[in-house]
Amino acid sequence: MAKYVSFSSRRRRPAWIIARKVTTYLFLSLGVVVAVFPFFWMISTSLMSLGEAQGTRLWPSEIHLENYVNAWKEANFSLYLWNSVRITFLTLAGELTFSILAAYAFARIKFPGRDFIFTVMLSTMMIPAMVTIIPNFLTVTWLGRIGPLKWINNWPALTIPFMGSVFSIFLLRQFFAQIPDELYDAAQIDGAGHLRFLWQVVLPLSKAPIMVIVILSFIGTWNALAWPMLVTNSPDWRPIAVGLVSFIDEAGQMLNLMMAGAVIAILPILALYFFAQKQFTESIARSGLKG
Amino acid sequence: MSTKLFKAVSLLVVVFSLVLAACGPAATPTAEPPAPTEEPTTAPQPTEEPTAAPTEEPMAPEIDPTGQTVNFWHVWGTGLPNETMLAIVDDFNAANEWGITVNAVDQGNYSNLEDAFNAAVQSGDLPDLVTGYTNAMANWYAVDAVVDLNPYINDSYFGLTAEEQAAYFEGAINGGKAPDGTFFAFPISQSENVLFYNSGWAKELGFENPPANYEEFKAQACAAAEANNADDNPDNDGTGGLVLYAGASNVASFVFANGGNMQNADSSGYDFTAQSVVDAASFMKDLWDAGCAYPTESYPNPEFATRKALFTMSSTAGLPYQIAAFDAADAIKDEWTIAPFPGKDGGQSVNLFGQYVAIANTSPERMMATWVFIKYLTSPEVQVKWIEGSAYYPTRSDAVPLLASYSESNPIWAYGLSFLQYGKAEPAWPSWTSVRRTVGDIFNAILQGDPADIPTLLADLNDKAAEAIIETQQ
Repeated sequence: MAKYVSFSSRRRRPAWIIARKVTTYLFLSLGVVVAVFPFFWMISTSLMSLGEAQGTRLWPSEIHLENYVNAWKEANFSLYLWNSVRITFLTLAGELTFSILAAYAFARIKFPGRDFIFTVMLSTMMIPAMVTIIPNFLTVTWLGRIGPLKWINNWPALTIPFMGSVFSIFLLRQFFAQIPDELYDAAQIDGAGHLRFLWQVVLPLSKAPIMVIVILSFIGTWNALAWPMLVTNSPDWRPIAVGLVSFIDEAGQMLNLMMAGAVIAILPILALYFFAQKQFTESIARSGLKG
Repeated sequence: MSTKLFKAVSLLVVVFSLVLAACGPAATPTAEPPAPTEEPTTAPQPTEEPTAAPTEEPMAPEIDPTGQTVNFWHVWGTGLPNETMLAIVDDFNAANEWGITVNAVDQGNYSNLEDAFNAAVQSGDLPDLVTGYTNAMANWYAVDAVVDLNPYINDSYFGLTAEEQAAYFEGAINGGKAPDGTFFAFPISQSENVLFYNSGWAKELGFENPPANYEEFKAQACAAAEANNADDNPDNDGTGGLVLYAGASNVASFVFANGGNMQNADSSGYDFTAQSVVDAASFMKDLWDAGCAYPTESYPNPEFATRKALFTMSSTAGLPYQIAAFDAADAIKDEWTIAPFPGKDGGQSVNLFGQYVAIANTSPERMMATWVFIKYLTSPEVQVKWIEGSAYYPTRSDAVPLLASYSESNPIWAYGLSFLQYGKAEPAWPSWTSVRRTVGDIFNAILQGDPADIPTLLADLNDKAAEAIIETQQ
């Protein structure tokens, strides 16, 4: 009887809670659709004939897998993919090196004018990228003229200007500043200097923000188009995004091939995201960053 | 490492990072590239300009192009046009007697190429030969980045004979010339802005031929719009007539068909208040207000292939895209063709879009080598190869007979060949780059506004165009 009473007394969830959950899931489902639809459209279009791709169909009447082979051949993807890998690797390596060291200095070393310099640096984030593109181009051109290294049509123009990222320095500095001073004191007692403390204590604790930087920088570098088009005039160092542009001409777009190329181009980004998903979401949760 | 030393190193890193950060855009840059501001050195003159075309070949050239490398920036990076251009370049490299090597590099689309060339003007790392729109080339000529071609065309050794010069279509040649006769852009092929016309559907609607004047045009467009409104398919309501994109090239096409050219009498400036422009604007507005014209967000190929438009306006370079749209599963397999733009009272014209090249201002030897390649590229036999691979039109009449078999297998293209004779080109003036944007803005304002405002808006366009001329002359 007691058992029976116990079951019968179990309260039903109030209707408003169920309604709230349903509403929440409806909104979330809508969000999923909004997020997934462009990918669905891209993949679907990549399998269409050109005629169908120009229209409004959502799914091809006939699957054209050969679009992937054609896109790869037509857009010189073999070379451009390799170039993108090289450019991204160099940019990431440089950005991480300089950002980590600069952020550490801003967070944990006291030196005259530190906060002022940091503020000035942050203020550069307010300058629209459009405004900096001409001075940047003139700078890399000038550096190519005066130095031994060729900048235009070469890796320096494609990578070095992006190695100093204010956003990365800012993000890391915020994380580094939260690390308790006691850890540094303990490390100092054990004979560690700043470099060892950074390497052996700070960096292992900062995997999440570093992964955020890796992913955001990877995406930015991988998808870059306007700057590489500006500083390269031969295929030698052109990245994969340039290959995608070649499917647009004065009279139209080969949308099916362009989308097949886009699928190929985003595969490395997706792979990286799945690999680093845990750290990425963790970091966003910790830092309160929003996309 | 001591703390002091580490602090010093850290400070250095911070300073270096600041320098790099100042160089680094906050996000992936998408801005337009810098416009050329520095003037390169004055173009060296290859030879003295002869007064007449050469008649006899002299013993030796005044400028020796032997062994030069020609960097050719073009826009044909994919498909058959790319294969064809590379094959032509390979043939030239293998066979030319001067040991000239052409290195063809795809620079993306016209906009990308323009950006790249503007950047090259800044860096000084110019290619030798560049493709582009003539108004962009006019800008490059104004900053001495490209050179006048007259000395090369008339060169006593490498120039074109009088017969060869006469073989070029006048419209194509004029498209690359400034009013003062400066020849800064050479046409290697051309395309036309034409009407795409669904003749099969038109016949069902009771029209046997493409429209010959505005009255017929409106009758056909409105009949198609009415047919779509009257059928039991609600999805096609509001469609059926002309897909109207009031961009400068389409506006120019209508004006050309009225016998105008948007220029004043002495070609020293624009005249958008001429009757030919007023008539074109009034007609477009009339079609729009009558519900016989409507806009689309993208290229209107699917609309044309599914009876949502009896007419669209497009370059003949878009023929492959339109053919593909008719191959789609949901297309209506109508008979269709292309037609010239009709004038108000029966004139007709097409707007010629040339594929022009310009010689960059480098060294006399390199420039002469570049001209030798241009001459090869535009020779009748090579032009035929290029046309067959690109579906463009030839720029010289002596290439036309050689295209007989291509014409047979491409009837729509062949029909367009007959329009070349009355084609006109848009002004090849530096100011046209900005004026064409204003033309689009004003004509869109005309479509959205009151018909009574047309004269005022066109007068405003005239003023803005005059300002643009002054700006580009400064």
